[in-house]
Amino acid sequence: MSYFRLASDAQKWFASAFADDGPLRTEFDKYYLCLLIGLKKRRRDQLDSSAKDVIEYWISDYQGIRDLMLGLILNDELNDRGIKVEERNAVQATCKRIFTHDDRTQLTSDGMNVANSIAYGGFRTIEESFPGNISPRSQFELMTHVASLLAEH
Amino acid sequence: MKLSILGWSTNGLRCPDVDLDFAKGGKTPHAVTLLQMPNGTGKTTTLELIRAALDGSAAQWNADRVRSFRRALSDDLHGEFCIRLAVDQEPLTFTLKLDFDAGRASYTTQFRSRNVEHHEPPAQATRFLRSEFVKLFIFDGEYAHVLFDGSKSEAGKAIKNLFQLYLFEDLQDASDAHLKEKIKEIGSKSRSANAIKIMRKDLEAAENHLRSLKKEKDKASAAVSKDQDRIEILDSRLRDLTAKSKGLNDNRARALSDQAKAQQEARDALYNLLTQLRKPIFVHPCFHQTLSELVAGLEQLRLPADTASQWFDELADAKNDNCVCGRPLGPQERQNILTLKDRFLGTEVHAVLNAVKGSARQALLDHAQQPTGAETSLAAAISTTSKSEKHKRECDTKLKAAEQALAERGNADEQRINSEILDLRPKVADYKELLMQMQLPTGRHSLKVAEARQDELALGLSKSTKTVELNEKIKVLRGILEDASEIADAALRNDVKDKCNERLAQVLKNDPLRIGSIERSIALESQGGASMGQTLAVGYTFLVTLLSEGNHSFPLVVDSPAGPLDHTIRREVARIIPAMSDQFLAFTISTEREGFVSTLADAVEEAGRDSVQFLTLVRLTAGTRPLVANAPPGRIVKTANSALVDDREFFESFNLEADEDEV
Repeated sequence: MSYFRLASDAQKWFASAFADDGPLRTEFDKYYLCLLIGLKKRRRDQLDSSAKDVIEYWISDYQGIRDLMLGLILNDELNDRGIKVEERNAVQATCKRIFTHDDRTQLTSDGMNVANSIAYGGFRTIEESFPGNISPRSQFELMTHVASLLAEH
Repeated sequence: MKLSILGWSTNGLRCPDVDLDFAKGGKTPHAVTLLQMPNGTGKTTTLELIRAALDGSAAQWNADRVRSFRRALSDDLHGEFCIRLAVDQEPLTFTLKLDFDAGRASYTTQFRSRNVEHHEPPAQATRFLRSEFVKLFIFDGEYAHVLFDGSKSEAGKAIKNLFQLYLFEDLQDASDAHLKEKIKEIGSKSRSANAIKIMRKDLEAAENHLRSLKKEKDKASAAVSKDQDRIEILDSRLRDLTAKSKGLNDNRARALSDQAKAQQEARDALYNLLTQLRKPIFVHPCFHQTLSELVAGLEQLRLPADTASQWFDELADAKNDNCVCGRPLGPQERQNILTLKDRFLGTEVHAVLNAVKGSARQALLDHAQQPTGAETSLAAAISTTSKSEKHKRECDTKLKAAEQALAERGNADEQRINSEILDLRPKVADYKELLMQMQLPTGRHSLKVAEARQDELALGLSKSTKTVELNEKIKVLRGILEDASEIADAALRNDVKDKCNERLAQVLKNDPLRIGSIERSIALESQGGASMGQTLAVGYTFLVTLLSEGNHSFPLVVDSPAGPLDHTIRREVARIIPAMSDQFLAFTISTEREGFVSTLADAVEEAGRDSVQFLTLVRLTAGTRPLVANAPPGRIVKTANSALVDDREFFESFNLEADEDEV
């Protein structure tokens, strides 16, 4: 069983914003925002041993976009490995390495490592670009910042 | 009678030693003298000394009071305050001598060539140089408030004193004394001397009882008047507070409703933004492009492959002797098939990849069906969220301001006012009850009973002493005097009130205020009360009106004339000062100059009076020595502990709020 994981510094960084009343309620919300930014910015960072398990499945709010996210993760991995989508054998091998139907996350342990490193890269991007070198105090501050990063060209 | 202050000198007292001359050695003082004295220079002490020098009251001071004028850390055994006056152009000097060792005050008076060792004003000034009258023209701000105090009768007394209405009472006292003297004389010669003596004593007791009832009546009337005035003012404040509270509560309710609406809008905007963020294909064109290329690539490769690895497992199964092509399958062939099957996807990956492809295809389809510029929905959501948040913050601020205003209005104020009203109402009721009992024909507090008893005893005594006719005549005289006094008093109060209101219309033309009545105290028409500045302006106007009555003229000495006034009222007051009296002498501090001095100087000039005298008196200290060093030569006079500068420029540039400790 593989877990979506977030670094402990990320957990701390999000704490104030998540204490605020708003639509972001779950640990997976944090993870998703990080993953999305990591995919957009194509950045990966390696989690260290202090990282904590978030959850072992896609929660209901994200079930609808699970397969799209898996597609984006696959694409990121192909890019990362320099594999072109026409390279049938390499693509097949990558799919086999990162996807499995046997896990609720649909990701193998390798696939989960890929997703987690993308999410951590996303977190680092959010954190580094957040104005004033502080953490967000509200969901408004966090979400508008993340949305602005996504809207960038 | 015209009274002027020509100057004064102080020596060995708490205030600095100085010799002031307002008439430049002559008999006519400046129309206006402004004596600038920083706080701590002895303004209050000087005012007290002027009053005491004029009214002779220091002779009654106790030792502590006398010694309170001694300069701190001084070994001086004596102090002296000497005031030089002109009464109808003739010099009059009072010297108040304070013996700190014995704790005694004494006077010398010099008038014309006469020098006496006590306080003895000349006959024409005697009735004015009494403490009740002196405080009308040696004036401080506090007295202005006393004029409005219903429990005191200063305004009424001021009118009585100026117009000598006390002469009616003096006449009554004289006629009563004459009757008593006559009764005593006849009684002592009578055979029933002892009985008459007893009757006299009874009459005296009845008179005392009646007097004490009348005093009680006055006290109760004053208390009712004061407390009712206070209740009316409090009621009015309460109404204002209630009205204000209603407005503030309405504001708060509106702000609260706006805030709730704004909060909901901001929350909705955030939910909408999150919804947008959860649609990756709409978030940015790069995701759309990625998914589009991925789907196209997978379809080109026919992935997931039509053949799944499970098929190879089944083919390599030992139960199959031959391959699908018909060739026999041995262990080597089976091993090859199982090795090669890894190049094909298993059903588990097959399903995942199919789902990815399917979802991506659907998302691309959804995206294609969206109106042009679907990606802008994120930008729009960001913009809406920011606007909603800004609006929410504005509403938060408005609500905070509304709550702050509500808190500042203060329930505490309402409670305090209510509690004071609740305290006052039973007191007023008790006094009214007492006054009602005094009007009854019977009872312990009945004035009629006491008057009848007094009349009965007086008649008995008159009969016994054969003074019935004299008693009757005196009774008639008393009635005439009482009526005359009452009529004159009412007419004069009304006349002064009208004249005051005429002046007030000029003085406070921007903020009109009228005197409603002058009974014991001044009552304004509006019950809401007046500001400190307005009170002072009304107080000045009242005094100016009084002092300008008749053929008399008095100096007006005022401490801090402009201090509590705002700049508009300062100008108005400054304009009326030249008309206030022939001599206006004010103690000022530097902060009073603005809006006051130049208007006053102009008004004096316009009135065709001589120029204003600008004096600055400073206690000499380490801090003030450099300041007075700038004084123009020839315009400064120094003593051991003070410097007096007679110069307008120095006056206007001098800036010291409070004097320092004496060096």
